[in-house]
Amino acid sequence: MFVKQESREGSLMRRFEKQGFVRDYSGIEGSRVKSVVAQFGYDEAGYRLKFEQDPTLDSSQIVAIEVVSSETTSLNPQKKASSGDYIPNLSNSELANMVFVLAKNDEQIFVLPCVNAVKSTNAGKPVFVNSTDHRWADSYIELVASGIVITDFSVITLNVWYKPK
Amino acid sequence: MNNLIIKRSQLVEAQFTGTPAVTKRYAFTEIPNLSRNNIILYGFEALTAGQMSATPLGNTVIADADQPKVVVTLKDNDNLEFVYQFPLYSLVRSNNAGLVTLLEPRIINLTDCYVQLVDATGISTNEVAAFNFYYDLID
Repeated sequence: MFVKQESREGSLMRRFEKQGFVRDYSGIEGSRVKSVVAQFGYDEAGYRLKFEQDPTLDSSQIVAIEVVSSETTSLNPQKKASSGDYIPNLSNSELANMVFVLAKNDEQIFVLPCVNAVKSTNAGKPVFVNSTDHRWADSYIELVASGIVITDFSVITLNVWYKPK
Repeated sequence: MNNLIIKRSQLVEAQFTGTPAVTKRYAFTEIPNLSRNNIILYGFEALTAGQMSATPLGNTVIADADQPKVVVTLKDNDNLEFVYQFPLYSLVRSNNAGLVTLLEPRIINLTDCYVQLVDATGISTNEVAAFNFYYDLID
């Protein structure tokens, strides 16, 4: 017998909400956000660009990740070239050659192709995550192809939304 | 409207070994972690070269233009084909306004899951269909 679903109570989506598998995307991603910039030291497939230690992110719940491409912001906000200008962010086609890995020690918590975390490729929707047990200094960007970045020059910029634990 | 929260993820891939052909079933590379009984799969998405040119294992990912040529079948630990010949195209996040495909949480039997080609034109030997599986640990 067909039963019309009158409310979300008892629905599969309600279960997802209770289990923390989904979130409404119409609100802001989290209570705080910080920009993280890392500079590539090599240009080889398999190279892992580790992030610097970040006590704030280590002691927080990470709730969303955004990779900032050159289409979003042309230059990164932190690292400068020898000319004194800020270094350009990577393009979407360059970001298609690397993945972001959130980790703790050797354990990979999740792996995310970087271009998938660019908001404009998701019709403006952020990539929601939920991690309270990670180490930012163990997390990294991994190149899956060579000849993509310029050693000691190219940078990648992330926006990380977090909530203090 | 809701979208998926990534708790944990695992990249998985199915390789088109030999001469790519329609009707043939291409199995996923075995990931022992995903076959544990304390893991439930609750969402997944497909990745093509526009999102990730190669996998961290070094395999070339199929081109964006090849998205409509692949279908995927997933089985759970009761051997039920709970996703049967689902179009890979529909699993690509950017084709769905950024939304990720959700599944009723269940234990997956990755060994028996497979992808198939409906058109082998343009697919090269040893290219892979790549997916990101979203899962959680249960007590």
